[in-house]
Amino acid sequence: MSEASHTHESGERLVAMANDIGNYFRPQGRDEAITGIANHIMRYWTPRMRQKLNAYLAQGNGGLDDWPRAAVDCLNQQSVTTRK
Amino acid sequence: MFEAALDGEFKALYIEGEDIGQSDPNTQHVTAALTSMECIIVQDLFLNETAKFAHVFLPGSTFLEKDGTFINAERRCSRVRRVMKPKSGYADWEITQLLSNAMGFPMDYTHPAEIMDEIASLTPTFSGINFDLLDLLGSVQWPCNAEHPEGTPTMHVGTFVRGKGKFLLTEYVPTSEKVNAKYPLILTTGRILSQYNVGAQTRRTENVRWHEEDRLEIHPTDAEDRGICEGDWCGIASRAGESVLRARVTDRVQPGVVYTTFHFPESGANVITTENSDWATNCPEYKVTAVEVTRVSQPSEWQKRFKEFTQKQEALVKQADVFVK
Repeated sequence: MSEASHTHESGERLVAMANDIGNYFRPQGRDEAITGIANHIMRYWTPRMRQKLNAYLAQGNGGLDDWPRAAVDCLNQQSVTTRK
Repeated sequence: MFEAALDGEFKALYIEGEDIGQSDPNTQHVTAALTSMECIIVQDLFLNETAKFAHVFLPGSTFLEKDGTFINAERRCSRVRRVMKPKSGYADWEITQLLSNAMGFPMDYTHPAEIMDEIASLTPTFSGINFDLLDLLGSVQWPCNAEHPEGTPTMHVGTFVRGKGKFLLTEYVPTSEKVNAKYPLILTTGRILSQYNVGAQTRRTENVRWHEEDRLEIHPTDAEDRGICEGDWCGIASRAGESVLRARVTDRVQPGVVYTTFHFPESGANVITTENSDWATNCPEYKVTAVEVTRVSQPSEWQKRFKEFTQKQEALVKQADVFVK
């Protein structure tokens, strides 16, 4: 397995993991779900996993469901605010 | 961790009493990660599967040589008392301390009680627990606080921390691991009483009389469809990998489901399992892997490579023994 294909795969894996988290929170309704997904990612993902997911999405890769996407955007927004 | 290792960002690992080279799903992915690290230190009772990838091997202690505490799922903290000094000359914690000092982080504990004191001072859950208290009471259930200095047998009486608690709807979320025409069966892996997990401790005992190999349990209907008879070699292929086990034709399993244990490394049960995991804790999905089973006449490619690698490692150990003598 080449380095590049591996990196690609693990971006896909992170998207799948984020979607799994989203599927669990879905019955709670949009707002609570997005907060729940964001909290889970913030507490249990390493910064590296978040960076990797962001980089993967920035390359134009899709597959991330709407609510996990909103949660990731929300976390990115927060870290920008914290840095300021 | 493995992903980071494969990306070259995670370079060293110190493993005490775990055998990730056998226990974790997708063995080939694990060994690729282990191979890409610069320094792996394994501290264990035996040269287990992970030790084959180690740069440094240190001798671990048995439960009879251990001195410390043990906390079970009931929140109960008990003392563990050794019956003999570690044969290797150092207790597990002393080896860790020597390593730490050698690497420039000073540690000067003289007794496990001091380590427990430090844990209690840093982790609110364990505050108030110390060896004197354990010697006095035998065991305690955390937390030990002002209200319950001798421990808390029932955590929540009357209310929860948030009040009356909160009920939530949850929906069934099916696995993404699906059967199809190529992989029409579900493989479930599990354990048998006479072997403990990866079997590092039990395979080396007379327990092998009860369980001397991992077999693939397959329903008579599924076996007949594939021309498989009792004792035949079966190739089991999934999206992650392939291995070969002998068949046990039995109606203990349902049609559509095959089952095996993972106690013997040469079986490669985890070569077949995937990295699918649950959303909350990332616990691997050992119970659901889509596979196809076929009758075969020889071991899998992975098993051939495993055998060759094992022989090479064992030869190196023998050479080292000669060198020491």
